Amino acid sequence: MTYAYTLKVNGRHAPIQADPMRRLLDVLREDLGLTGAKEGCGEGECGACAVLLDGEPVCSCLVPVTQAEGRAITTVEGLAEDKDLDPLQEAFVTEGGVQCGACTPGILVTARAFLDNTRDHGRPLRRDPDRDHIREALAGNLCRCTGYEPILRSIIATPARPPEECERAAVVLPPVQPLPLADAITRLVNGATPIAGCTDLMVQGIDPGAPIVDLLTIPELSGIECGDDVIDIGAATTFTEFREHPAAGALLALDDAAAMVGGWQIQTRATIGGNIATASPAGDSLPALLALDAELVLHGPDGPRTIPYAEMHTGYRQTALRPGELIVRIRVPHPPPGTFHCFRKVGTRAAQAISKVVVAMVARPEGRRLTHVRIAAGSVADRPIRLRATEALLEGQGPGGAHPEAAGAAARAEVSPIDDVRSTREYRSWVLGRVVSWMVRSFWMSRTFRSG
Amino acid sequence: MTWVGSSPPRPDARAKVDGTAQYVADLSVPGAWHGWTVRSPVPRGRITIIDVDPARAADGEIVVVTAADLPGPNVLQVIKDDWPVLADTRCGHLNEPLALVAAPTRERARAAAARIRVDVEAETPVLTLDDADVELASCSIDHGDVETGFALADHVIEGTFESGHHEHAYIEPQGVIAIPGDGTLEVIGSLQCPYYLHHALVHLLDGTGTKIRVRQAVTGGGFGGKEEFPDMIGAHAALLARACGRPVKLIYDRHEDIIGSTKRHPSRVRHRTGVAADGTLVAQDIEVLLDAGAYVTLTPVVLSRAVIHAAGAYRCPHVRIRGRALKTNTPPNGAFRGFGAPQSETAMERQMDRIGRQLDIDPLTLRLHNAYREGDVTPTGQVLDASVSALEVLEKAAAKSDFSAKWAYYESEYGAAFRTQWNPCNGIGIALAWHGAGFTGDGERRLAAKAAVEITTAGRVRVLVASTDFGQGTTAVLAQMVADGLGVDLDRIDVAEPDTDHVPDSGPTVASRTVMIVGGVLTRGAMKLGRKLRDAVASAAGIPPDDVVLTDDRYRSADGTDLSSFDDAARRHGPLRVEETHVTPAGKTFDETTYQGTAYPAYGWACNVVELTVDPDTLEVDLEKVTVACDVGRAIHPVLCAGQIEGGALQAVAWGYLEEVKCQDGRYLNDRLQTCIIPTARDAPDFETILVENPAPSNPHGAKGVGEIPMDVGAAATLAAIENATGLAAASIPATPERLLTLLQERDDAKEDPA
Repeated sequence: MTYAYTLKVNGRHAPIQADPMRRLLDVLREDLGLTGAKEGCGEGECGACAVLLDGEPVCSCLVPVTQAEGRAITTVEGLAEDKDLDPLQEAFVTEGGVQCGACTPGILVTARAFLDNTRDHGRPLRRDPDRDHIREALAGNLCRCTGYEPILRSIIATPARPPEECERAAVVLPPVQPLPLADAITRLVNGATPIAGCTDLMVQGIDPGAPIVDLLTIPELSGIECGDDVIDIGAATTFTEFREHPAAGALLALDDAAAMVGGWQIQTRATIGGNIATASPAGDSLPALLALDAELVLHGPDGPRTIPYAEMHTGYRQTALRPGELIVRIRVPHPPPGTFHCFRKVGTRAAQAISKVVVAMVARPEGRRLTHVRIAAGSVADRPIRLRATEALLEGQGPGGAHPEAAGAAARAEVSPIDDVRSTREYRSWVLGRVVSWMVRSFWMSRTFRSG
Repeated sequence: MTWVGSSPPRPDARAKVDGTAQYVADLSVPGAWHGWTVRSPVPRGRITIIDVDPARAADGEIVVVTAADLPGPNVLQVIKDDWPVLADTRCGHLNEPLALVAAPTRERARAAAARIRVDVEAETPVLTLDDADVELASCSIDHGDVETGFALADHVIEGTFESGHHEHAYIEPQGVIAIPGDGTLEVIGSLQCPYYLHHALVHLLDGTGTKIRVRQAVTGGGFGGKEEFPDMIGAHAALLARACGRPVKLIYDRHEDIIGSTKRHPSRVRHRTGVAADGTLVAQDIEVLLDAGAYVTLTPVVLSRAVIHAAGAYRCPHVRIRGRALKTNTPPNGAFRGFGAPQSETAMERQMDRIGRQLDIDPLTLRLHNAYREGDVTPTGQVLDASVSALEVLEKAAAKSDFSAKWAYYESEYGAAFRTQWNPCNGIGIALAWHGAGFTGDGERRLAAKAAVEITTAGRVRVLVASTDFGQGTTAVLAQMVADGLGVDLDRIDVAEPDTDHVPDSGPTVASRTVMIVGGVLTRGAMKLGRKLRDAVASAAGIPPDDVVLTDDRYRSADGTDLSSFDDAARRHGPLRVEETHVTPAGKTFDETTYQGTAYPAYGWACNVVELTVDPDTLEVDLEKVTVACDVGRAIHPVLCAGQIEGGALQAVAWGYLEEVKCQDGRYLNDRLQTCIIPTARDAPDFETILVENPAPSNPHGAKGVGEIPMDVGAAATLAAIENATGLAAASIPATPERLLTLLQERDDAKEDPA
């Protein structure tokens, strides 16, 4: 059944009637006549449909309208004030940033968010935008005409806005009607579909009128608590939220993984809990969570329980979740100072990619020895796995006993990856060995530099 | 002032940045239904049943069209009449259109299409060039006597190069809207060639007395993919609209776009080259093989361009080139930026690198030694009498990138040691391209492109051409050329929407021909129109026309007397119109049976230098910088011109190492953007673009076209850079980490087992 929603689009209130899971893109284009955002792929790969939700870029093809209500939506039509183009738009006109124009609306809103972003999470610097930062910010927006060079020139040529205007662009989150956890579980038991960032769900497809439980509205699933022993992460934490939180500095393997999840538009929406529940063997954050010895707090009809994350994935896209059960918190032991973190994703391209192989390693140096070794890998089995034989080979060894090449060979020996559209069995096996060798080598090099 | 050579804002930019530009999917057409396509489930077979009853039973409102409902011949006329609008008795490739459905919503159309039962008696398909034996096109060039040439050679070097399907990946998928009227049918679409679709629809509805009108909506990229394929989707929408009696929108989603539309032809090119001890090319024997897919489409023309460019931008007295295109039961391949030249030129550039290594001559020296100079003769016997810039682009790109020093350093320090390195290894590669602008041979003479310019009584200048803008900036550059032809301000110029009811047939927007051919026709037309108005002003003033000049928007007599403003003159003497037709200069002929003569009126020249690193742990390629020196004759709009070069170069480079459409058993495995990979901003390199302007005397302002040449050899330079970094010479593209690993393992095996 449809519901009445009031959307706040480009500063105006727009009442609409829609199914909860109807795509925001369709509502904007069909119901509100705002056809600036384009559908280039319908699965969050191209960014042509990007709009800003509370100042952050999202792919509107992956946002159900129920999650857009009450939030400030900015489309390309909202960048210009009346007849005056935004200086960013002016720069695209004069510097050749526009060719066919199909990617332009998504790129403009993303670039505007980038230039206005005054928060510090590795991406900033609107005052003096660096080419690499711009490239990272735009990695979720494909352009096929320009080679990106004129787009970079256009963004660099855009004059900075006064900080107070940037602050005005950043929006305070509206109050959301919180959903009690118990109610959510009751609804799940009754067959409702749990939704979070929807970056996988909307690609797989869902009946727009299907009953849902919006996990983003359950208080127990949000927030990060950074304790001395445990870093406790709400399952509905987005990768952007995590990257912006001080806890990311303690969990570097997970932070590096979060930076490689899709493009910016995906990171602002996709949640860590969603990444776990989707249970793809290629999930970017999963090897990091395995290597960090995470545990999961689950809640279901029978109450809460805690399981080691390593027991979560039981088969191809299968989890230990029971009917009606939810991931509520992800608890990660706070790594002691000096812990070695390493993460490497070998994807189909430099960003916005699905992994061919993804590896995370966490270890502690004790004197000249390697201890508490955890190595985990994705895309090499039907689920993300710990490389336990390799860990055992390295555990407690000094430089002479834990040779990088031997570790690589051990890693290769304990997996049997497959051929698929992204890569081959041979390559996956080979590159897993090389990456594990590289990580062990990096460990010893980091020791060398530290002691030297 | 003159507008040509400056970079004013493009006329379509404002609507594209404020979100108001209307692409076909953005158009609101009241009462429109939505179409969906039913496709063949196997690559080859006899169609026994297309049963629509289950779909009708589930949704009584839907409209279905099969081949039986066609009013005229079941064929899309491209070159050969072999491409069915809807397959009826047999299907020739997977996902071939068999039936069409229209319904009030897209979801209902899609659901109905899924309920249509299709039975096909599958037959054994021909899926690879190795198995193919039906020839759909062939052509050959003989220049000198190749056996004599080989007899003179000190070395004979052989090599083979292969490439696979390549996806255009324009950001806006294919789409059209067909609107039926009283004895009329209007089709609005995302397309490059309104008159192609017009022609196809006239043929499709032959005998129904329907008047056809085709309009181009704002179009989100083409790259050749919207040259002939819109004939297919446009015909489908037209059939549905006719059957429904109401407008029908047929907008492909990305998945359907990839499985349903044409790709770049897969190729296999074999070289046998005779070389003198000093590196001089003395004989070239080249075989070019293209996989056409199931139907001919534009294949003979693609093959022709591939063959003419196959010997590269190098002089050689004895050349034999044999080209063949074979039929397979894979989806048909068609136009894609470069049109066959990227396949054959990439092969040639790799052959040059092979020769250089065998003779121990560095890549730049070998190219400088052999590259065309003015006065040289091409394999078609054409004397390159002007605007030959091969040496200049090589020298400029090499100097800017410090090619020679870097190449030698990486070669000595890294190549041999690759794999023992811990850090990414640097590589640099160079490649040289030439590209004939405009249609091959007598194409332009036959086409006789038309264009018109009007002055309205309001003083506006209207440019009427069928040339389309799908991103390149056509409207901007044609407006500049007309403004200069008339001597008026650019603000006066309006480029009319491409609409076959109003614009003459300027030919298709392909083959880097728009500025050179249509721009030339328009320039002549604008000058003629300017003279018309001037003559009228002179006549009204009673003075000789030659005594009247237009400056700063005012007509003045020779003694400086102010006669009239342009606006007043237009009001008094307008409206005026001039329609011009392209005339090929006399004496420039091409014989399509012998392949001898003037293949193209002018050639562009480009040198690409690619700098990258290869990670020894993953064999991943990281692009650092691409330097392109490109002779475009004259850059009408330098900003747009550089945009063409940079965008084209990235497509070419990515085709070399990243982009791959995997075709297995006739099916594209990566049939969505998640798996059909194109570069992101993080994959892209920094660009250094050097515009070289050596005007072609026969062309308007000397311009030679820029649309395609950036696509020609970027892949070759990438492979060369990978070889420089790793010592691994990929003979097929893309050089993915998986392919490089195979080469690495072969090399290691060879080392371990010297036998």
